[in-house]
Amino acid sequence: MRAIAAVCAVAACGIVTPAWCGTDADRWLDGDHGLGRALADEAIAFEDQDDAAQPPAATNRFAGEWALVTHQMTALGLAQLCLAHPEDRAALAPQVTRAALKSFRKEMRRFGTDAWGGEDAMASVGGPHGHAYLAYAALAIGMARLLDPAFPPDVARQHDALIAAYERRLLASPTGLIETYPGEAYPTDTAAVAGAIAVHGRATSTDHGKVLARWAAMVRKVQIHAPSGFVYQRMDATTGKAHDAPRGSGTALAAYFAGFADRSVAKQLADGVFRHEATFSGFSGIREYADGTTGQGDIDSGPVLLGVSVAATGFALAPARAHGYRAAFERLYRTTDLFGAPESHGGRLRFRSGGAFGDAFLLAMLTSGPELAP
Amino acid sequence: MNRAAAWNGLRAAARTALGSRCVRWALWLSLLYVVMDLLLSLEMGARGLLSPGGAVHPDAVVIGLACLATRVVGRFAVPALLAFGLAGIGLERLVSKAL
Repeated sequence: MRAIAAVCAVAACGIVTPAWCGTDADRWLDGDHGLGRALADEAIAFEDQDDAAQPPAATNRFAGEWALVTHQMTALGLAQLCLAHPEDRAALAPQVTRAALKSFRKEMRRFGTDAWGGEDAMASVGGPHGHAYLAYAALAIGMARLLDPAFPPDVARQHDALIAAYERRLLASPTGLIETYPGEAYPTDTAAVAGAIAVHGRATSTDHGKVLARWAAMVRKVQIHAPSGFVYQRMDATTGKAHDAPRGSGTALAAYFAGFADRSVAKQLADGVFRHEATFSGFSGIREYADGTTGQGDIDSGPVLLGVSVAATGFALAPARAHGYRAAFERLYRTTDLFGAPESHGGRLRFRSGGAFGDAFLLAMLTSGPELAP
Repeated sequence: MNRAAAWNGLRAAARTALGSRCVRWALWLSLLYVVMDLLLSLEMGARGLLSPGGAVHPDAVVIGLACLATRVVGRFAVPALLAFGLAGIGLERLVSKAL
């Protein structure tokens, strides 16, 4: 009798728990307007709060990166909602611009300026240094320009100059990589560069086909670790030598950024990511390291628990949704719901454990799809 | 069946269910889950475990992790305990009727 009761208990875990955690998965997949707006409203509320508080510029690299990315992801998520629901464009496009402009502020990129010995990315657009970290902001600015007819023209000119610099640097690179910091190039950041170039092309009707085709070829030739399907996390931009293992967090985010530039590269990266999906009772996560490589969690991956990376799991929601991995999206979303602890309050939706950073990221990941390159 | 009979039937069923230790555990765990979920909302608000700058909120981490642990355990254990307890009761009744 106990054995039958135990079977019932296991069955309840396998049926009730995934259903409980996955109630919103289908709504996100189907682009539920109310759900997207509820999370968007939370991100907008954070931007209002940030405007009022005017926090000082971050003094260390990681804090600076996170702050920039929070505004960037807010802008991208809102922009994706505009593309999915054009009726919201008039209301949301100015919000896209506001968040994108914040990510592009000089003080916001101070961490990168410090890393390059005081060389500001916008003061050195004619120079050879990569400054690829600023592509995150450039991508957000591009989306704002695509959607907001009132986008400030002076910033648009700076954006044009930055994109021209990225295009020149990428064409000159033997590996299809440009440096983020001195001696450090990240395929994920370079995917953001490619995405920024592609969106600039869409916003300004400029042809960037040559550089994007070269980048796509180099991703396949140099940056993907063929046995695992992951991209290397960190490489040498000149020699293409790997400085870190192929990893899930970088690949999943690269798949999202690559989608802005080249659908087939993004799909290939997504295929690589989902080869490393670890599943349990209707839940899943993405392993940070492929078989044969090991390592610990860091600022890119977040905590790595039982080999599964928090960041890779969250980032993978975007390629899962964008490229139609419906079952994988549902499994990943259940995990996100379980640990993200979403809550509706006052008509808004927030993920309680992630705070503003988590909300911004999940807004972009859970609405990914409309931004894909044609 | 009138309303009083339905009510009495429901009370009897609840009494029987509460006779199972697993069902009682599931109810206590559900109560703890609700309290901790409320605490998570109060403690986190819109802050989260980390700031937008990536800094850990030390005061929120201990409570936040305890709440998340309760959430994870609760979401798996409550359905399992309920299923185990109720299946046990149902099976016992079937066997006693058959005998």
